Amino acid sequence: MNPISNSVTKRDHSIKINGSAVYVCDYPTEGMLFGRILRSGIAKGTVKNVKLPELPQGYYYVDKTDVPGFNEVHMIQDDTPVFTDNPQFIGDPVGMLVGVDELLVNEFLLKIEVEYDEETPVFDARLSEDVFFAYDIDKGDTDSAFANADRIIEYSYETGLQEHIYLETNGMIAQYKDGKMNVHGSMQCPYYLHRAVVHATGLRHEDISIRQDVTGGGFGGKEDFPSTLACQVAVAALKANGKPVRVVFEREEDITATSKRHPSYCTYKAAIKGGRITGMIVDVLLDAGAYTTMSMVVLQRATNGACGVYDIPNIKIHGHARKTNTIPNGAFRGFGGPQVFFAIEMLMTHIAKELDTEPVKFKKSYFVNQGDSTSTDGVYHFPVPLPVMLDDVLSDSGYYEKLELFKNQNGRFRRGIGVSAVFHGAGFTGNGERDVIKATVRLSKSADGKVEILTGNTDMGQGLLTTLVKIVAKELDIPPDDVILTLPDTRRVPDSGPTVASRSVMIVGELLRRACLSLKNEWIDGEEQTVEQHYRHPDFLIPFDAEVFKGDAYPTYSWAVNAVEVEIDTLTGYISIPGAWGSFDVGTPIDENIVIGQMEGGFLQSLGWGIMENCAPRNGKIGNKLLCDYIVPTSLDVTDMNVRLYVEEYPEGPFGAKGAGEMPHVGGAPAIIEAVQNALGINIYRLPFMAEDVMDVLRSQKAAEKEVR
Amino acid sequence: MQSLIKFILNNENIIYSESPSVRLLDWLRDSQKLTGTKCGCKEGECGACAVIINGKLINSCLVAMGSLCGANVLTIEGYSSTARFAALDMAYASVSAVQCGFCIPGMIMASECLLAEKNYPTENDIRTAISGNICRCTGYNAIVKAIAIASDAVEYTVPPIRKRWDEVMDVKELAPTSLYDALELRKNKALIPYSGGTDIMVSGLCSQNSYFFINNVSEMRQIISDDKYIRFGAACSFTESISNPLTPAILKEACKQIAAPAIRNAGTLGGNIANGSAKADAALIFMVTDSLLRLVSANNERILPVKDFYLGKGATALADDELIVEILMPKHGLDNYYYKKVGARNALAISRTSFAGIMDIENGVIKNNATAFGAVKDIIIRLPEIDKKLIGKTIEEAKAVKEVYLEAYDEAIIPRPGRVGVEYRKDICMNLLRDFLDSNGI
Repeated sequence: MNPISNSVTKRDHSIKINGSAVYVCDYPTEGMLFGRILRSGIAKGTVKNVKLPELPQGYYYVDKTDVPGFNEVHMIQDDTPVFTDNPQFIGDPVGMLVGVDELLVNEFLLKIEVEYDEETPVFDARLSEDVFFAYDIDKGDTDSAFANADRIIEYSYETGLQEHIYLETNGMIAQYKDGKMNVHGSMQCPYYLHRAVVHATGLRHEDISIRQDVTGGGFGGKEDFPSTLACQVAVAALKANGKPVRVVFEREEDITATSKRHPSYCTYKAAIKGGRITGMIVDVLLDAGAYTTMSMVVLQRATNGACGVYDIPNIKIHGHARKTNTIPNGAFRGFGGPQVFFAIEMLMTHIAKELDTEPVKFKKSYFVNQGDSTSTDGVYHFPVPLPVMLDDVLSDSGYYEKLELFKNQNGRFRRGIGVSAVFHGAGFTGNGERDVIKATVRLSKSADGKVEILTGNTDMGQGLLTTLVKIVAKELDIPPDDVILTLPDTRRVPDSGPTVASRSVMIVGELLRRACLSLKNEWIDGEEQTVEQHYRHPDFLIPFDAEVFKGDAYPTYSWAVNAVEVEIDTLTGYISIPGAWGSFDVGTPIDENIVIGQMEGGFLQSLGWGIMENCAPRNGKIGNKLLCDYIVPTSLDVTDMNVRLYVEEYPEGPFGAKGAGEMPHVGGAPAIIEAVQNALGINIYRLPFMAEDVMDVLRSQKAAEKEVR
Repeated sequence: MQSLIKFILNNENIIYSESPSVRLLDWLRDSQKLTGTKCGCKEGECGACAVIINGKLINSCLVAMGSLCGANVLTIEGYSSTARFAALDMAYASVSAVQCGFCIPGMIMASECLLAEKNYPTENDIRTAISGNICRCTGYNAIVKAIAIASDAVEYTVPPIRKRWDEVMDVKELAPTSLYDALELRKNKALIPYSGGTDIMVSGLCSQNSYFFINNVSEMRQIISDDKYIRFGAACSFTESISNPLTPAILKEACKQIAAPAIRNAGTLGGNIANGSAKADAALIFMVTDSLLRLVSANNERILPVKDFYLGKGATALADDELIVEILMPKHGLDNYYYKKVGARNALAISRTSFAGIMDIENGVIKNNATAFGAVKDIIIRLPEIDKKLIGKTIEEAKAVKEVYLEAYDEAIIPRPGRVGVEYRKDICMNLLRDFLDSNGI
């Protein structure tokens, strides 16, 4: 492995382990005002009247009439309101109550009476007529493939909501003083917030600063949502006479009012000719929730990934994201990928079973290769290491031996093993980097030879403070202690794009490395020097045309193979996980421990999504809204995960690194669901698939056995 | 005037005179500015706020200040100057076990409690010790490794100093140490008895209640044995019950599966009964063993079968002036038992269905047969009239009435609709009951 991969102590290790790190909730609260958001109790309608209780001195209420700029949270589209009088989901923010005593603010909030005119909401995306976005892929000659098919196999798949459960809830503090607005808190993308606060407050760019506090986990959940919260606290701060206004969510509010992973409904038709798949027609539907937020880009990734790691010559994919009157669904690690990769992995197994062939070999025979065309007529430009990775994982997990061993089980406990092969397109979809993000980074050298990294990217736990420093220290050949990197403040750092899409090391890290090359060239001892580096699109890419959805959607891909073993207690339906294996190719790990930590953490989130995590709303209302009922894995719910790295270096990434953060959340769920269906001897078409579902299967199997007798 | 509550925080004497109902977590963060202790849920379900009280891991969100009379409280700020912290610090760093960091102070507290107890913990020991500390970043692998690495170095380090307040802490009007004083306070209807706090402190309004604290009443903290019964003081924690040699295996097993270490260290047997919940795991064992409750008031005392204590959902026979002082569990006939708790995960799980069975077989004849089903109805199901069908029979004779017996239960068990499906819970009950019979050769 490249020497840069050798692990070092993380830069933020000490302050986090000794408790001195300051998260947004840790700022002294003397002199602060506390805000609580009044949220809609109905899923759709208009607010007729808000009757406030009598508020003592020092307490006030803000709503849309207090928004001096646009009452819009600027994102990709601007349909999310800062405050609304036309709520579109239960929990939509109507206003904010602010005051000096947090307990009293809570009490007054409960006393507010809201009158609504209710309208009929839509909760089921399949019944929604409101299409936010739609994309079509048409590759090869699908019509002929289907016309000439021996048979057509059709299956549908569903996935559910997932909540991020970053351990630190969302929180933000805003202060407006002497004409300057300072906002700081828990976030992934300071410049998203900056643009949103400009748009909502109408203040000048230069009068607004956004600063990231130490952030307790993001996973996508602090990509889009903090923009909304920042606008709300900023609007409240405008009326606070110079005092800071703080909103830190209780867990219940965080679960019931912030973004989730999009539920999905995928239908696949496969044309079969001579035992081979010759074409596919796919419908990918995402439930966007009430506002568009990130749905456009999530849908792009779901659409172009719908055929997974398989080379299917003729495909038609229709992707659409529809509005429902539920919490807006936004970014979540994997970003539309996990949904379709679950579907395609299940589909390939189900087709193999129909064709009476062994699923893993069947899948392997369709793996894409270097030089093959992608679903969007781009090219897999670099080697595809899947076959080797698959062999590694099959052997690590003892897959075939176990498959044999687990045949004909009839005791109380039944075991199963499943395997999945997946990719994650590294970085932004399409021309996002070139046309939208246009990242800039800066290096600032002081006279004493210390070099400060200036980027807008954030560390939310994934280790960026450490990895970017390693890249710069290595390229400049100076000690890491001479490289300075702190959490970003928009007053000081350029916009180097959001910390999302597994792009930070691959894109921003590479920009920094190139900046280092310039700095090295110009280096003069004892002088202050600054170099700036702008994004440059790789030359080899086939330009992506978002209109017709053609071209290279990604410059390169990360790859993963996962295997999971389960044991099912047939008396209780309980699914336990005695083994989990993974091989991940995310290019050169900039720090081996950090990358392994990302892989293990994402893997477990993916397993949780598969068999545990459930917050399906009933009539638009989230029922499982506390940590005691939205169940995430504990340390006793998983065994030692066996994770290995395969390194296929990406020449355009720093020292060969590719996108890493999201990769592990793609393949865990299909692998565990395959294991469950193998243990039970059935086909499964949805997740989460939990103990109750297992019992339903066992009950019907028992009933069928009785009938046979 | 508020009572004075004296305790030790990070080796410093504290005299606290504010409201005794305030959460320790809030006091640490807001008033002491000890913000290393994090808040992740305020329901004891994440462990981010865990601190060490009297050497035990406790979630500070579920602790009211009044329960701290005479206690020693250690937070990450006090712990981080110790040698054992240094060992953990290095070990966590060596595997990059710290990601977002929000769970880490609590995780370190849990690590310390484990290492104080065991020099060479197994992987399962480690996973159990941190099972109440949710980490969403790491998948736990690195943390488990870090603790294992630290355990190799730990022998050579000195555990943190744990001095106790040296005067006797008897705040009669708030946290008495004698039962007499506790019962006097109990007459005051406005006060809610507070034992472990793990249940009442979950409520959002908990800090507005008025409590009196019975966690230091010595008569309620002992586990003793007389000729007929094992007598459990109602204020004994689950952890104390697990570690006491007098405790029968069936109760140990149930207590071990309650929530996670920090909850087991605080939650008490009496509280588990008094909350009137059909999901209470220790209560299920008291039901199946036909245990008795010793209920005492300032001028009365009575013994009540635990079965008669439950009147409905959350409703009990406890009189306004009574306390559960002891739980009397029969000493004999509990060895051949069956216990299964079904939750949504392996730790921090609330029972979705639970089952306990006892079959006392002597010379081939069933001397006693008792079953109980938890989390099915408003009250734990205990139906001796059905269980009687097997008593006095040989195994062979029991086999003959097995289907009749099962049918009787099939009719009797009608789960109350809840978040988890009715059919699912019913199936589990019947499956486990059948397995209980199977395991006894019936």
